[in-house]
Amino acid sequence: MLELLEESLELLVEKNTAVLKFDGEVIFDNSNQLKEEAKERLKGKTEVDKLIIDLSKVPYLDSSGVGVLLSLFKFMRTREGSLAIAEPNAKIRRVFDVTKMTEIIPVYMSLEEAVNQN
Amino acid sequence: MNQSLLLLILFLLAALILYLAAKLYFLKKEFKWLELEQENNSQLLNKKELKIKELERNIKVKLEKARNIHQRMLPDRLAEPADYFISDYYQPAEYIGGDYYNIFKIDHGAMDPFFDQYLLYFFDVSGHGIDSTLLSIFVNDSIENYFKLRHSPGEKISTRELMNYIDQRYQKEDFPDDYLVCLFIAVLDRKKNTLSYSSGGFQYPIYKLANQESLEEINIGGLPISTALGALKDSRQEKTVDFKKNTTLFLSTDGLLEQSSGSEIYFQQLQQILKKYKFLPAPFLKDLIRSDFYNFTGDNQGSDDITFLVIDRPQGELINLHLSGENAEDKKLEIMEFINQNSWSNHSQLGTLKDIILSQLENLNSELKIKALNNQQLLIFSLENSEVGWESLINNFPELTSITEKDLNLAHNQLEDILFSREEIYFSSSKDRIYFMLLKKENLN
Repeated sequence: MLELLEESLELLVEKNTAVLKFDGEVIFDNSNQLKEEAKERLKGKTEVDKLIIDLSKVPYLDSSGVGVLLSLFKFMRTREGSLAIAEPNAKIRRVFDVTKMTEIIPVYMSLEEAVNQN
Repeated sequence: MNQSLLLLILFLLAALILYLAAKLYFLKKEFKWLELEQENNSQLLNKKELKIKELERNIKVKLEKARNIHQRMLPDRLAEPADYFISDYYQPAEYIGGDYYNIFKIDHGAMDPFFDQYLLYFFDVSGHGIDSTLLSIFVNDSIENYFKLRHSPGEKISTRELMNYIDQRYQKEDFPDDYLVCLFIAVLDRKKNTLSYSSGGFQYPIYKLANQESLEEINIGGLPISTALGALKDSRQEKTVDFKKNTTLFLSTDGLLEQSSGSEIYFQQLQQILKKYKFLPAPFLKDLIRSDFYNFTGDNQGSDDITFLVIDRPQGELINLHLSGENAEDKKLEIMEFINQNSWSNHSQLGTLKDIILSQLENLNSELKIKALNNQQLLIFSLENSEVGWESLINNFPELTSITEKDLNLAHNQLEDILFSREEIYFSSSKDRIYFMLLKKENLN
């Protein structure tokens, strides 16, 4: 299971910004492990106050997957940081638009754009 | 010299034999020890395997129990206003579902004559474990509490306030921040003929079908209820849609609409079905969508709950009769008068339909509810009896046609429409209710 997680989650940190990249579906079956692993890795990076979740390799999120994003949103808010989403596909973008989550979590069409935003 | 050498050789040989004997002894001992260890390990392995199997069995039993609790929570019957037909479908996910729905008449006490309102809601909580069943219980309990503690009979109901109440209660419970609740709450007002609703978390729309208009997609959306977001007092506004006669609403949680088969998702196919067959009354449209959905998914049954509701306010003449021992004879006359109307006198299947209805009226041993609709396109009869199953009736009239059987043709050629004929009597049955439908015209789609 650990190997599977390592393949589907990658964390890159530069100064105060971290990019968390998921690879594959984020669904009920793996959502809890992904959330816990992401938080575990972020705990050691206390300098990070800006987290970008790169969804370029995520074809689908179910409601448990949305729960992971919301949980990380709260995690960052607790450390007075921010969360942004980068490169969601059209289907995931639609979820964010329709559920108005874009009003709370900014969504960018490219990772570069997300990184460059203050 | 020779003797000394011989003695030395003998001594060395004796020493070697002793060494080899000692080595053999220790090797045998080690072998026995290894054998014993292997046996112990094997026993340990077997014990562990049994323990795993027992735990798996235990989890399965607990999940099954939780699934039963969830199934029992679902309402036995949805409240149906006199001039509506309402049909529901629910298929839980593999283990336990997080979907729930209900419709009940709102109690306005002495003010009831001035209000005629029904509360309609459905929700989907994230996950499909025991936690999701507990969350479902929580949401239901919150709605029940609102009407016990916050709402007075005769008082206006705001779905936005009800949603806020549930949200605030949810925040107080401090549920884990990765849980979320997608919820749709509506008030069906029969005096105003409107449906006022608030919603949060659903990514797919609901649909309004009116015969003279095109399919209307209503994006309900909004933010879900979640402790990660905190209480959102002003975020989920109340919206209203008209519910005139000849209108059908199709409501669903995301499980049905986001089901995929290859590169297709059912969301697109459903829209085509709704456009083509919007003339069908609720129970028959439900049957058609259910069959079409399982044709679409094939062996891939998906991992989410499948829940949908069809709410139909038809146009035409409607009767609602409750037959019990005392009033049965008078009501039978009323029913026969309704069937014998001139507009249907030439229909080839009217005789058989009469035989079916009469067979039930003549053998009336318990209470029977009859609801019937007659309009320019259709004649529908619904019989409801909680004590009699409908299987024998269906067996006695083999000429009856189920839409679910019809739909098998669609699987072979999805491009062709399903044709409905006036030469057939269609039926749809649930636990304690059966519907019959005659068409006045051919191919209403």
